[in-house]
Amino acid sequence: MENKKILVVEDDTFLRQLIAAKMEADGFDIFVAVDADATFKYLEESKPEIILLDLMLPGLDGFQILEQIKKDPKNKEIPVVILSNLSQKEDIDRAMLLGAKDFWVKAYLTLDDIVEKIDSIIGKQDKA
Amino acid sequence: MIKKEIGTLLSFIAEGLVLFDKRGHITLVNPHATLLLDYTSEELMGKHVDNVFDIYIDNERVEKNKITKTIFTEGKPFNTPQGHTIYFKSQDGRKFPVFISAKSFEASGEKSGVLVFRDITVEKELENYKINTAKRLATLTPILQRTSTGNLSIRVKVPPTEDEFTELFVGINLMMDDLEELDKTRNKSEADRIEGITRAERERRMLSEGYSRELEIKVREKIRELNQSKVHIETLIENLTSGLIEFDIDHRLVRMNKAAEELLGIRREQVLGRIIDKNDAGNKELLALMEVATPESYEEVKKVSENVTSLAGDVYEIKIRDPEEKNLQVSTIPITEHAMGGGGIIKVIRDITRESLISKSKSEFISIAAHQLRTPLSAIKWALQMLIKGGENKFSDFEKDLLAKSFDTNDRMISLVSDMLDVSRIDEGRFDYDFKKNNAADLIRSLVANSEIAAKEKNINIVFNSDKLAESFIFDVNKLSVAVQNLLENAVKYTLRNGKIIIDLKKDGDYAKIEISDTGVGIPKNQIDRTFSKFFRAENVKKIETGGSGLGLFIVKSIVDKHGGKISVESEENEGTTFSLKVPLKGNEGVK
Repeated sequence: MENKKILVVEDDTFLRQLIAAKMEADGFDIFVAVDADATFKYLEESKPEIILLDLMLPGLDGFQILEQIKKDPKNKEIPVVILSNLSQKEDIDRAMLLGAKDFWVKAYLTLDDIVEKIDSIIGKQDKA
Repeated sequence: MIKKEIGTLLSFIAEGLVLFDKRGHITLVNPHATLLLDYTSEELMGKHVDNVFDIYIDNERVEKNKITKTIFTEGKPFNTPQGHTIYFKSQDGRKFPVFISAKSFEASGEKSGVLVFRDITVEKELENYKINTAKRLATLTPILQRTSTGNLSIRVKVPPTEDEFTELFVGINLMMDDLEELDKTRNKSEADRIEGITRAERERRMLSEGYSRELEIKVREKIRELNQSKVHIETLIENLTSGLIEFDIDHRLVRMNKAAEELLGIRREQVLGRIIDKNDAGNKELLALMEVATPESYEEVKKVSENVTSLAGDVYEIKIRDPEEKNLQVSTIPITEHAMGGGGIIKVIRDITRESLISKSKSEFISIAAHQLRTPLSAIKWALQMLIKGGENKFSDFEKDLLAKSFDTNDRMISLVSDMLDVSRIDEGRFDYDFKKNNAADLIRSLVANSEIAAKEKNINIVFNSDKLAESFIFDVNKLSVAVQNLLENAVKYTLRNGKIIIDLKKDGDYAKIEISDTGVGIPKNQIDRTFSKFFRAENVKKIETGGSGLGLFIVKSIVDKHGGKISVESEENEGTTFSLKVPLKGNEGVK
């Protein structure tokens, strides 16, 4: 059976390494993009089941990437979850307004927690 | 017979009467004549009438036969000549004035003469007295006239021989002396009085001149001081780094300093003396001034404070675009002092562009710093968790314990960063709230569930009692969650093994009351006042648990305050602590 595709947009090398290791171990087909360019390049070729998007990124930030994804009819159905260490209400409100599925604060979650949450989202989507 | 009868008749006459014949021999005298001439009638009878007495006209003796010669020879009556006095000198030498009339007449064919005379001594004396008196008194007239006009220079001459006038004259002179004396005294006292008045007047003038000179100096000094302080104030106002504009009661612009000119991009000559109102709305040059004048009518305005004290008026923060983009803080101060021409307003304009920028960058900095701190903390968290999970069979118990403690320590670091972030936002007033109807019982239940693991480790029993009436009310679910979680975590942290934590949610009047009681170490009495202060950590807990930012309870109080609620604490050291949160069931209407 084909592994579920996940796109993670994250610029921190160590976090990328950790999350990639975890996801692979848990059987996901994970692609980690470091910035907007890599993200859109990947999206042209692949359609992930979920996108985990950081906000503070070099070049275009997470909000702008989210906005573009949601504008693109091809990609707008893909659930985008913000996985960031920003946690202010205005950041959360802004992301949700732009169409984010959820807003997770990295520091408050373990990778196990994250996988659990991903499962619940993708699982829901499967049933729909 | 007739002769005898005539004689009797004549005796009754009050004048002297002598009849004589043509030779001058006396034929008859009446008693009065004998009395006057000091003769007996016998002595006179037969004697010549011209010889019995001498006749004087005034002082001159007349010839001896004057009577008979005049009446018989000359045939004229002999009378007292006009303006003269006739005197008789009798044989005893007595001379006396008489009124005399003699004439001849014919009786029985024979010429006879009759002489009638009267002693006029008394009349004469009276006449003389009258004349003398009039003369003497006449001398007084001019003197008295002078005296009556106040001239006392000439005195009445008192004759050397004393007479009936002497007393009068001396009296008049004495009276004049008195008058003179009185005059002198009066003049003297008048002079004294005038001198006194003059002296007093002079002294008063000198005094008042001195005083007015002094006063003038003082007034000049005060005016100088006033001018100086006016200049000081004007200079101060002109050179204030803040802009200052002043409107009078009609909203006429009466003052504008240099800084205001620069901030608003207008020259004062353009606007001074003008009433700034809606009519200027179209004037782009005056836009900034308009916005400052009436900030409340513009959109991009934030009201910072409202008339907190009468002195500090309303404070607005506005953003202007012309002449360049600036953030301005405008304080409006009403002029209440009557002396300053009350009714107007002063507006102090402060350029807060830089401050706003700094404040914004501070907030951005904290946000970024938190993010930057959290990134490595997240990495450590994830890595440690992977190690703990994957190393179940590889590590010794000691190593596993180390890893678990590292994980906890890292988590504490994460919550410390979150607390700092929260506090900085509370300080900035940017700790945003989202009030809506939520269920507090559900919230507390989930929080209790989260704490169960930690509680179980210490065998602490958590009990939650809920009253349906207090479960649903208006609150910010995230913030109240932070508040209750903080209290609950504290309770678990500071309660010893086998302890008990009770959470009560109940209705208390218009409030929902959440009570969290523990059987923990308690807060020392002398520190309980500082419980909700920033960075407060009780002395006794510092020894037990080294972690803890001291920010938790400060955040809790801030959250409860923002809900319009109240927080209180009761504690007994080594017995336990009870925190009570009261949140209004209808929400805090004062919070937007």
